Amino acid sequence: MRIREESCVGCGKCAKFCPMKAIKIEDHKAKVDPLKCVECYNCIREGCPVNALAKEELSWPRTLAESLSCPTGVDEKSGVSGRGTAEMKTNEVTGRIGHQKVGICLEMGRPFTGTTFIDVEKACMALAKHGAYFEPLNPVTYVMKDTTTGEIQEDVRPLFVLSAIVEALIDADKLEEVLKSCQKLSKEVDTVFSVGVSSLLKEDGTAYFDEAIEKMGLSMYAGGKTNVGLGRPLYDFDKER
Amino acid sequence: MTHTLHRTGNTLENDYIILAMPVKGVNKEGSKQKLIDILDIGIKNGAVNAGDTQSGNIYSVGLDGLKERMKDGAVLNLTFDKKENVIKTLKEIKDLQNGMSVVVTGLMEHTKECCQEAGLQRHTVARSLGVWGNVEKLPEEKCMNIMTMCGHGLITATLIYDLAEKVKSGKMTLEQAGIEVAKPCVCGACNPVRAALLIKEFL
Repeated sequence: MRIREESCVGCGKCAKFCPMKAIKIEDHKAKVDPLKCVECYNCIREGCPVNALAKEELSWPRTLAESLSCPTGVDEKSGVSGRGTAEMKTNEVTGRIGHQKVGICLEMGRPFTGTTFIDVEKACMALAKHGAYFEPLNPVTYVMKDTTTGEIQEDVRPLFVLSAIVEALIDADKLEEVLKSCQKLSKEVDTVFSVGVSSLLKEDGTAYFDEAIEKMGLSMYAGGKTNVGLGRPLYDFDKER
Repeated sequence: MTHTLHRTGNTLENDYIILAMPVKGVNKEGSKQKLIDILDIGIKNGAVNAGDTQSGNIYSVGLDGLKERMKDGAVLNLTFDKKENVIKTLKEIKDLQNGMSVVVTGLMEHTKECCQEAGLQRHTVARSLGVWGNVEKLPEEKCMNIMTMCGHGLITATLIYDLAEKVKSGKMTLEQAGIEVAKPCVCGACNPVRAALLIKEFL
């Protein structure tokens, strides 16, 4: 994002909407710090009164920052809009998360801190060592050099984004060791990350992640998401058994 | 996309989101009208916000603007502040049988009751284990409770403080401030009624 200085009147509206505090008002003009700006365009969407904000022509890997940080963006390589995939939202149709499996999402940089891909790589590597299957359509997955190690391409590592979701599928019986690695990761990163788990509901109404979480004494937020199974055609989960 | 999963704070009993979407390569074609049918049901039953990431929300582009901009493959969010309205909406979506996937977010005990009342079988669930890592970087809790209503992180603390000041000085009502908070959250998942309740804590 760039500011047309000749038009800017220094009103500060853009700074108010910048989630990364990348915009400051100096000498009655808005200045953007390119190291902090993640190309989310929240400032542009909220409307500059004198039309002094403009998008820049971006090149790789800055285009990745845009697609991960701007919710209206579509990733140029994967064709996926936003930061991740539909994960559990369409599970009754896609069968993505089957029996004995747990979907895990580590949303790096969320909330409100942003993240470099150096920290994203640490998260990928923490999951990879447990044999995680990374979601192939997630933009983080295809910038990995190797999905068995979780290493990220060198040119992407320094990139700073609003957030990036490391999205994977693991065997339910490995969840405890995976979460222990996440606890270790927690001490190694310079950012925050939000941890989410997803699962099919079993016949008794419990999820495949319940046991490990209870055993580890971890607490879950009281809120959550429930797919109510209305999508069609339905995936046949029993054929996997 | 985990954008409604990690909400924090009290008053969550006044906060529900119904998401509807198709699957690319399966039932995406022709989904625009099916999603608009679901949007109409939600609005009729008292949704306090609605939107699609690619199109904007009803406070930024208007209801007609949202319908015009939506395309096949849209991800529709309907946000509610009352459980009874969620139940009515879920029942009507179920009767529609149009094949869109539907996810309801809210307090798990409450959404379980909503599903039971609407005659729906819960299929797959997602839960949050909270925020890990360098949590010293997080903003103060009362800001977090408002900011986490936008999973894309587009509601800023600066905006919240500014709106609270405007309410304090009589330039704006709490309800107007709640709507201003909801505008940057493009997908319509931010609940302006709950936002107004939470801004009250700043006064």
